Amino acid sequence: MKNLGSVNRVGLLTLILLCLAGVGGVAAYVKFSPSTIAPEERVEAGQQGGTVKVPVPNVDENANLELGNREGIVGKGETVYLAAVNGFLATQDSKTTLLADSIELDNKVARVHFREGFSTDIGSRDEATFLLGLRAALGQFAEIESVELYVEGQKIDELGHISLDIPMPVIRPENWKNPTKSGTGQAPPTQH
Amino acid sequence: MSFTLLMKTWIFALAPWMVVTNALAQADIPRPAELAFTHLGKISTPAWQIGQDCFVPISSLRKLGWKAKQNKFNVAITSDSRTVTIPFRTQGGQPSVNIGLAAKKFGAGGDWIPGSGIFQVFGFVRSATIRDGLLSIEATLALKPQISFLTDPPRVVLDFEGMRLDSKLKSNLVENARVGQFQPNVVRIAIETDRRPSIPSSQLKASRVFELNYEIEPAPPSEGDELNLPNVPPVSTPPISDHNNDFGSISGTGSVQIGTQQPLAPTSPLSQLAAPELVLDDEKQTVIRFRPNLPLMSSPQIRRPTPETIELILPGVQYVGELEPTIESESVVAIRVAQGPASATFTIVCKRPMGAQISGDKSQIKLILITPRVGDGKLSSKTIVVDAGHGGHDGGAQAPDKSAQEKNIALAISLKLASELTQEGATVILTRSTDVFIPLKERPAIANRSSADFFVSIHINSSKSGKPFGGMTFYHMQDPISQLLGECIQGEIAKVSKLKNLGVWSDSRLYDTGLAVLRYAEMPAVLVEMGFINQTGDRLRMLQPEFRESVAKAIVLGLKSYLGDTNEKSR
Repeated sequence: MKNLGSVNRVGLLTLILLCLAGVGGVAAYVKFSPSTIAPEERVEAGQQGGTVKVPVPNVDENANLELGNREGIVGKGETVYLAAVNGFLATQDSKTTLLADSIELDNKVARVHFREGFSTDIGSRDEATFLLGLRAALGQFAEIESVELYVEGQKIDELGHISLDIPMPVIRPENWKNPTKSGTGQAPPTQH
Repeated sequence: MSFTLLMKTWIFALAPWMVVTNALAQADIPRPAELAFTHLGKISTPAWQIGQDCFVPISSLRKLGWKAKQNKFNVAITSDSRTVTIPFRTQGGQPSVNIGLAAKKFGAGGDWIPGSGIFQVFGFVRSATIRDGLLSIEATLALKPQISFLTDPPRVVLDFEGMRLDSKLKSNLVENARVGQFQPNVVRIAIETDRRPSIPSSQLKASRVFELNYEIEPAPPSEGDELNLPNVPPVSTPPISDHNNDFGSISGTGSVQIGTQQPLAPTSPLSQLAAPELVLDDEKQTVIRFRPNLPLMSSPQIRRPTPETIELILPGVQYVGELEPTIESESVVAIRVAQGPASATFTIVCKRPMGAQISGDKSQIKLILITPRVGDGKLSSKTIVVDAGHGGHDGGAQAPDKSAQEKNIALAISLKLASELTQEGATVILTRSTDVFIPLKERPAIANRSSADFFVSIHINSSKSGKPFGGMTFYHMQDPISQLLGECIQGEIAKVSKLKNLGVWSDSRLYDTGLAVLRYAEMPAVLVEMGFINQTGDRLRMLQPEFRESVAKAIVLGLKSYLGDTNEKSR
């Protein structure tokens, strides 16, 4: 009986140690795991029938881009952000399936979500027009400062030509006419 | 059942559960992660978060510019002649190292960017000194600046991405210079000066010690108090984003807008200009100064009729000097002047193709001619990275009827170009030779790792808006050397392509941050857009086998023209 009591004490001690280790492990796991979910602001649907400015790209025969604009109508249950962005995307190609699914606002960053089917089968002129138009469409909203793109929940870091690892600031309406705001100032070269 | 037996049963029943729970809680369960490294940004490599550490395969260390030698129990990593030794473990079936530990051993650091799954490795800037106009920066990892010029007051701004200031920073800057932590991972140095160094970004190599002589030009006489003459573009590379203009420790706002594309406008009265003066003439550059008696009201413009000839158009200027002024320059063969009703055009003939930039202030315009580094000037001794755009799942632009894809046309031209270059004796590296996907940043990284002399990327364009057509060549931002290369190549392509010549574009004219493959290339780099695939005329032409051959040969001629390797037999 004496030996059995000794075994019981060892077992009890082992049990307590295991419990403590388990609790410690769980606590450490919880403490050191980085949070991956950031709270997002809820974007209310716009007033149905309300209007937004829709950037309209105009590329001349020498490949220079200007963004004009037209009035867009906010559809039922649609946010003003979505109305502006999808209004712009619809100007690119009437047959396109490339429309944004939703747009969330998180700390002045608009997250534009595309569903499966987001396509990058475009050249550099189209790609730049696409990005500049998105930034312009959301630039009419003072609460938005920059734009991020997501496909199936994954942030997009690059397209076919342009890297998106640098923040994409919005383009305010006063800059739509010359959206890149730069150039070489150089006349086209003379043929050799 | 006795109490003892009950206890035993209970312990044996619960013990496995507790062991498993404990193991799960304590175990370092690997999770996929991403690695961002100093100015290189995100690295295309597998990475895992294990506990608070980030592990990457040893094979990926070369992408960081590091060399690794694996031994039985550890890895010796060498960077900039320094070697550290750390253990490795097998992760994802590959021997991998704790990148944070390696960085720490090099005196650098690493942090997880909260909530992103990205491990950022950064270096520390240990010293920043200025002596006799020479700025010298030393860091624990290789650094590379983005240089820009801001006005009001005029200043040179250098942003070092992926860097932090060391707490024991040795700073010995002059009164008009500041160093600060502009963003969490960007160290900014600003120097108030009206002297504008001309440094092609293609000549800026990443290194632990960065030096910049910002007084290579003599200071102009100060005839006016202001340097913000609106329409005279200074030499400049815009900052990464012109939405963050300064770190605030130096007053002033607004980045300089480069190039206005304004039409030439006559001024009244015309500004009178005497003969140009030679300011500087050495093996790196030639600086010619023009001093009109009144400020210009429109931007000067540069054109390049041939690789060796540069035309400088000064609007609103009446030239009153000799029509063929002479300057004692090793680089300039002749200068001719043509006077128009509202402008004067100076034609400068150089001994060889040279990069060109305009610098200006209220009282003078400087034409800076930059000599490219060409080694022996022979194509046969050069290494060229040929980059066929897109590939694999990324098809690039496609014809409206989906009959043709950019990735296939670009590959066919690239293979032909590689063949032509090889015949010339050059060393060619293809970023892809089959239909595979290569991430954007990996493409220039291949060129950087192999210390290539040139990077040439081949693409086909598209536009759903409007009806542009023709071919164009891009260079990065305001890099005059890559611009020169682009002009040499596009000029030759235009002779044979039978497509409209849309000219040579800065990629910032397309998109404000430029094209990724050009931004990250450390050598003269261009991206050629052959034509628009959605335009029937362009597409049918580009699909002809003869087109591939002729544009491939044209690119070879463009490279030889840039190098000064002109052999008439090959033409």
